[in-house]
Amino acid sequence: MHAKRRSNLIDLMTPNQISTQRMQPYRVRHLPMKGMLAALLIVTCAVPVMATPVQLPAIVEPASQEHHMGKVIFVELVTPDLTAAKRFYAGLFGWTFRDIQSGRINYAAAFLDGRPVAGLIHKDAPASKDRQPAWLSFFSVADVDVVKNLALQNAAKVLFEPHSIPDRGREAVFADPQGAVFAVLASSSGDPPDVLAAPGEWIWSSLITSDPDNAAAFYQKLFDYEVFELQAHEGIEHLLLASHNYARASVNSLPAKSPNAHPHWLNYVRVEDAVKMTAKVVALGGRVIVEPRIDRHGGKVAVVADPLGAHFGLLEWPESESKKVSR
Amino acid sequence: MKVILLRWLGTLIFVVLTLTVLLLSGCFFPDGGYYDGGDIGPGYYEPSGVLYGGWGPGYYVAPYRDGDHHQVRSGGSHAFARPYRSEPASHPIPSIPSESHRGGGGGGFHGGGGRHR
Repeated sequence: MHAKRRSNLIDLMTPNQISTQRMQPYRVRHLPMKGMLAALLIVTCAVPVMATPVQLPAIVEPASQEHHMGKVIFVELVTPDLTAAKRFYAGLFGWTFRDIQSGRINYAAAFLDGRPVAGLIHKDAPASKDRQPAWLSFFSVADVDVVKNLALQNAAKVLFEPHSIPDRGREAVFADPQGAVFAVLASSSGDPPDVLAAPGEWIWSSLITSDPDNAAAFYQKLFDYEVFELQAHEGIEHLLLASHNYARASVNSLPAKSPNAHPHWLNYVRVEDAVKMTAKVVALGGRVIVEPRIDRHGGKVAVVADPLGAHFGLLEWPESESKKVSR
Repeated sequence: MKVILLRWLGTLIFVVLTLTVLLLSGCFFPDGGYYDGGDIGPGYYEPSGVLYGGWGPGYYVAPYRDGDHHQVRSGGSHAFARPYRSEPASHPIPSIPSESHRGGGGGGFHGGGGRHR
């Protein structure tokens, strides 16, 4: 019955229609296979494009042969609003930016007078509201993988496994035994020279932690620091970490009034006038966390937050030894 | 029948080749295409609520400026229990450098410096 009906239909068709009709079963049979092949082809082409590593600028331009183990050689900010962050830091310090976009990555390399000064990365804020953007400190090392093993042997946690970035070097991120987060970088372009930071450049770092003694011991094992004990008020510890006769960072107790604050690294930008700069921070939408105050070197320090909440310090450091500092 | 077999064989070869290319692309691009995930670094957001209000008098964070000699803490037996190697009190405290940038080189972070002498 069906065969007869089909035969009748074919009789009514033009030759072209008959040809099309005969093709249908073949097409239907091979449609899933063709779809699969097409998908594979797309993936084959897309994966190399998507996997192309990000080209980040070197941290030293032109490249140097200097290496200063234990020195904080770079800082990166992860922020949920790259445009707002760029506007803020450009307005505050005069930084300029080179945008780097690759796939879903938005990165802004920051420069001051043509010198690389920082990296800003866009990343959406986590859903939980108990997190805030932060500046991440990168310490110079010769071998990231060796440091990783040392860190693990000394109760640190690896937050980001060692990996290589073209032109940048090899890096990894850890949490120290007290929980402060830091990164290490074996820079392929060498380390920045040991010169006085210009206003607007990073000049100093301090670790504010729950256990300064053990924290100092941990970083000494990693970076072979010399540890100096500085005179401080009772109940407050202030240690200085140095290498090759160079001051690298300080280690401080968590303030007594905020014992539950989490240990963290704080980086400072050199400024000429901390009071004026804190006013500028506020004008640009940031906040003052610690009002300018005289520190042991005779200059003022302050702690501020950018409009997205990332903390950083401001540190006055007069150029001349004899120059009077503002009080 | 033979034609169908040939077609399947062709498809199989194509699939194998495709998978090989995929695997090789993972080898050619560092970190197995890690950046596909859109991350540089850990995408670190620190816990909020960092409190700085407790920076009372005598709470110092800055480096020394004039190469003073540091003071070894007193504390009896505590001095022997320190988990780190402390520099002798006779060593002057290092500071950050006084030399300024020369030209446009350098870059990055300038937290380190020469000891003041």
